[in-house]
Amino acid sequence: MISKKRSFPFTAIVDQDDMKRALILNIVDPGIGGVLIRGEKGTAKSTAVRSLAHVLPEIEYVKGCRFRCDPSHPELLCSECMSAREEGVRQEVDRGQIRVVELPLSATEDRIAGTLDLEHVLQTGKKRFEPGVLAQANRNILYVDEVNLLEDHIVDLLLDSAAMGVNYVEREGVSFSHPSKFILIGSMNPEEGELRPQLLDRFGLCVDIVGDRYVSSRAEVVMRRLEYDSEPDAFIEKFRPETEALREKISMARERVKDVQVSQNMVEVASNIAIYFKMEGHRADITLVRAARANAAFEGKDSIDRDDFRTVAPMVLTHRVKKKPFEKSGLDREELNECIKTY
Amino acid sequence: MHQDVLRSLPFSAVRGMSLAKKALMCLAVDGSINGVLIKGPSGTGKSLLVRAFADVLSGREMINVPQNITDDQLFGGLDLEKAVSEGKATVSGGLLSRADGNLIYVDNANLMDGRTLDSLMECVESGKVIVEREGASAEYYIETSAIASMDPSERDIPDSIADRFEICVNIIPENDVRKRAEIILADMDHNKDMSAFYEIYRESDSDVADAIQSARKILASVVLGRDDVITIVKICRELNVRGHRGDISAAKVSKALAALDGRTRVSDSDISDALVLCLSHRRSSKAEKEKVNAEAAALTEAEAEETVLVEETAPDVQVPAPECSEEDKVPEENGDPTPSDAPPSAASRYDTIYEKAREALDEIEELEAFRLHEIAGIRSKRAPLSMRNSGRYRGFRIPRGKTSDPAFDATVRAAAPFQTIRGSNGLSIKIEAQDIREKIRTRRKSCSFIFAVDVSGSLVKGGMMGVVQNAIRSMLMESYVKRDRVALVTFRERAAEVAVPFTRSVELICDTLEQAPVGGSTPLASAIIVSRDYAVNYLRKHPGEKCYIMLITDGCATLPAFPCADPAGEVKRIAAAIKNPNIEWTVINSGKIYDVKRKDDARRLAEYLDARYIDIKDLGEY
Repeated sequence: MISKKRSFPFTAIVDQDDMKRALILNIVDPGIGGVLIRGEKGTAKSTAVRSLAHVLPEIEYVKGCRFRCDPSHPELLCSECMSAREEGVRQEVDRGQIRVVELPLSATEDRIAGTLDLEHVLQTGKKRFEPGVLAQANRNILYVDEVNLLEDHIVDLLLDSAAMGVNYVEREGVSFSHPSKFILIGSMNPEEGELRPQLLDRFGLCVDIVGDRYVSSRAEVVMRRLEYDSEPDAFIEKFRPETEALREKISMARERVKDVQVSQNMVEVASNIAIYFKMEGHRADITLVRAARANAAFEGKDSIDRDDFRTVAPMVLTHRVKKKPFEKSGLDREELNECIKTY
Repeated sequence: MHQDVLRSLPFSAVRGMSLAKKALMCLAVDGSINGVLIKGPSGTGKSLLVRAFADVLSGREMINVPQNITDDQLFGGLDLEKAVSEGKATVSGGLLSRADGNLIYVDNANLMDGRTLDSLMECVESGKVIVEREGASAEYYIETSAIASMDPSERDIPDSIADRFEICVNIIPENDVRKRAEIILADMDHNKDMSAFYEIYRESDSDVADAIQSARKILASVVLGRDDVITIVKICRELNVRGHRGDISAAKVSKALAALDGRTRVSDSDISDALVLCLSHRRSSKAEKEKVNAEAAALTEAEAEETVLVEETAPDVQVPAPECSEEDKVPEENGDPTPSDAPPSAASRYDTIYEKAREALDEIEELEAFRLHEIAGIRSKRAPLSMRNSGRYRGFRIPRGKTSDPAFDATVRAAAPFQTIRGSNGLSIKIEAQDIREKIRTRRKSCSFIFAVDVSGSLVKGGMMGVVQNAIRSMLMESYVKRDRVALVTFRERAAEVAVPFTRSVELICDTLEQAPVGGSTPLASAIIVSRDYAVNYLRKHPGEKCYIMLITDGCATLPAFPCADPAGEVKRIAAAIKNPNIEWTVINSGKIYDVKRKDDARRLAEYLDARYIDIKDLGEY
């Protein structure tokens, strides 16, 4: 379920700037809470997510840990690493790239949450926990294609883990919990049905994408695809300098994001926007500030300003604004710009 | 193996939600309070608060109950390892046995299987867990309290289960810029340096923990006077609270509140706060309330007079105590109100408390938007068993013949006790055919709605089309929330047709309705037949489900389904002939209000169909 195969280079995707930016911001600050990509079929949704592999930075983790625990955060260690540490075992540190873990639609509850290791029981008579997708996803990206078609009880599972960063398993005779903090990325085609509102709010950002309307860029899409299909390695090589540069830029932004200045004034802009658009929960405001901060870091700025809000606010609000009767899209861009200007 | 609820923030760093904080602290103070239910929109910090609460419990733990927990894991089941090694069927307690002396937490409680949540609360309430499984039975006692949180926008939990929680708190979204900004800043500080952030709040957190500890010590000596109890009982009755749980809870909670404040005397604001905490989930719904009011108006008046009389002579007369044994001792042993303590006028005191509690409760009630499910009169029902190999694993059974969906854990457990007598073939466990168990899975029940919409001339002329479209859109927003299937039937001119077959796409229904041709005569009878046939067809493919038909019309039939029939009489005959227990009708009158001539057509139609009747202008009240 881990995409290790080669994929289309991220930087070779034509246009779709919002989508690319939303994905990048999440890598810069995983606390933003993921991205939901809505769009018709064939608008490079999955291609973009899979191609992230080229630009993902490396992280440190405890060597041999099933959950890739973070050695620098002892309070977030899994129970196995925790007891090893308590016993005084020296834990070696390994480095590896953040991975894109895919959650297939057909996956069953036990494969996702983890379950009783049947083989182990039959052979030894002892119980053991066999981790599932949520374990693999810890500190990585969890990608769900066609997330709106996921069965309800699977969505419930995701809701719990996404909220708490911990996967609690109490089933089939096993009682186990392990860290499961992931960047949730979903893509969907809205024509096939809506997403449950509870899950909708869990996505930090949302972008609506449409296919390019201009002949020239559409032609470019076709050209690049043909080139990639005929000689993928050469194509990837061709875009390597750009990809490397972006990867470097993202790594830099990750390091500086916590030092970006956020003034009281800017924080109040965020809460005013949230109140103006009748946001009930606080995820919208918090995400606004965090995304703006990530955006500033990515653009190499030292503090956030209104331009950062102009970039990220549509992504934060699109899926959270309650639609009124007779309105196609909930978010009025003009109103939003006015709102950012005045407060 | 197990770690308790992950702590994410210091308790005192959580901004706002003062009522919810009080509720949780009360729970920690008085062990006889069984539960706190926290309801609020997504992202308001419900689970954050509860998890932070684990920090101030001094020694007690908070045990997390995932909402997809299986029954044997929760209540207890056969001890697998012991069964294999010793061949004995013994029960190992489930998660609940770990909960003894601790607190349990259910996040997203509304998504949990209703039956499981109900039994869980039963165990918490009675303090006793009975396990009867796989030939092993056991019984154990626990002392625990439950905290549950949920976002009601998706679906609510049944009233009967909510009633088992003494306290219910509704989180009201914060609308103050400064306060919202503070929350953002706190989040950033926490994110920047977690241990420094904890250090800032260490002291105030330990203050909270101390307050809880000392309140636990003085709780027994807190006095709740007889007149206080009478006040509580009267207000509960005034607010249409059913059953005695509300009264009892409010009494307990007001004592806990006083204890938290370091007092042994319950104050008026303790009582009004307790009423707000304990009654919001126990008031009967609006429609029911009106009915009760109408029936009991005269009775209440008479009773009220009687109560006043009793109260005036109270000092010497034995007032019947509320039916609760826990409270009996309070007025008897400690009820020694000195005159100086008593407020100047009992009546005005009652009024103040009543007004304060009612205002807060009304505010909570206003939060609840109108709900399609209430309009159609749907009560949540037990989830039907799922036939396919999908859905939530709820339990297991012995399969009939071969199964394609074995329950491994149950199978192994069934085989376990026999391992010492069965020869193993190199394996640790030998499984025989009679051990095989299969999974019972449940799927969430979704409802199917058919909107049959009158788009004939009379509506267009009356200018009601806009209102109708608006109403449908609002109702659909609700159905989209609940993930129901919706179909659209439109009727005008000569025919009724299924304009949109069952779908989950709200947009599709709205767009089709907006673009539907309008005007012409009203083939009401055809509309009824078409909707009904479509529903019956659907039900044939989906046995066990129910269809709700929302017939939106002014009720004035002008075109018969069969030539030469009288349109109105025909509707009556057809309506009588098509009764089906799995189809429920709702007639929404979309006629102009002042159209006296036609005013009763829709109402009559509803009577013929045995349908609920709603005037479109009243939709906002649901």
